[in-house]
Amino acid sequence: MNTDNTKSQMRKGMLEYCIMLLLRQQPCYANDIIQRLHEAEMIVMEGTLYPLLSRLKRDGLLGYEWRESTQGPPRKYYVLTDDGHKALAQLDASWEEIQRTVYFLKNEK
Amino acid sequence: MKKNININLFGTLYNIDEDAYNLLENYLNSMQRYFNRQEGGEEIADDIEHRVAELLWKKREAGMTAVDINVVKEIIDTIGSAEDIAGDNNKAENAFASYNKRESGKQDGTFKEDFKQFAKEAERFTRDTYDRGREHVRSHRYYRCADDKVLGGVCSGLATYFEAGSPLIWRLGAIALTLLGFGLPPIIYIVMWLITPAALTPEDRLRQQGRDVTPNNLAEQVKCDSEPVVVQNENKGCLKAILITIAICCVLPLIFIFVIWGRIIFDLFSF
Repeated sequence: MNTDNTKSQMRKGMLEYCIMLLLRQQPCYANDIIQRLHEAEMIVMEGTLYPLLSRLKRDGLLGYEWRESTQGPPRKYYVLTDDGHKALAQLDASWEEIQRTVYFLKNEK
Repeated sequence: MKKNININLFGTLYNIDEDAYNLLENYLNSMQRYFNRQEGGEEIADDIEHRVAELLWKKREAGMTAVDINVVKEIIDTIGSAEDIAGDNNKAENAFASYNKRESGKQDGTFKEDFKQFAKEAERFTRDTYDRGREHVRSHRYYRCADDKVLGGVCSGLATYFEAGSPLIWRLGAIALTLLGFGLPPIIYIVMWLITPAALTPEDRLRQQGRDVTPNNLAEQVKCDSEPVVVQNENKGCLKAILITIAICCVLPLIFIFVIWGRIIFDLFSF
């Protein structure tokens, strides 16, 4: 069985949650997000990131502000909105659920 | 020596080679066209432009003086590789095909079984061919080739559409048909020339080859378009001369045919 497709589906489903997680701590711009995901060994193609960020913003989970930078072009810093925090709490809960399910099934005798 | 252009990306000036500039502009334009079809697309395209600026800035900090084409290609590789939906579908199809093969490999001794097997295989072959044909029609779109043409690029368009033969073979075929067909093929040719669009943008060329228009494929196509193409030009002039001669020759029989038809119809109605 070829697991590539399943793996990429899993990653796709996780990506949204991961991005919101890393925005929980501090506002980030695209470069930070890419770097943090890279550090966390989450393999992601950059091209998929921008449509995702744009959708989260349209859904009201993210906001952004422009900040001038002395190191290059102006940067768009994304922040988690109140709705975003609420949604993230729900995702936390459902992640716990998934973990429990997998743990249960793995250790079932 | 290369011609150099100054560009201003969000307030920073960059020296960029002309070919690199064309590639970058083409890439950003096609990204814009791709994302424009979805909600918030303009903003996404803008984000990508910012990202390009960011990557260029980093390159400059690392000591780059002028932007050459390799830098732009590298940037396209970094950003452009979005999901490849077409790739996933192909994988599923291949798995199915190998399963079919294994099934059909099972052998039975008796003649009846052999015949059944043959009938089953024939049916599968017909169905597969039909499905493939339908899939082909669904995914491919006919365009004339604007960059590989003798007259209107109709023949090279056909070669690309059917993924069969070289444009030259189609051209020779068209000439042969013209000689046999008493003037009808040139009319079909001219009609196709008039009513079908030419492949002008990278998106057109993707649809022409039946590939999905995804950011990844677009980036690839844009890069591919920027490569210098080795065009076999030597026999095109000769072909053109032959075609024009034939076209002129065909007008005469055509008039002749119309005259005969006219006479027949006239005779029929004059009773």
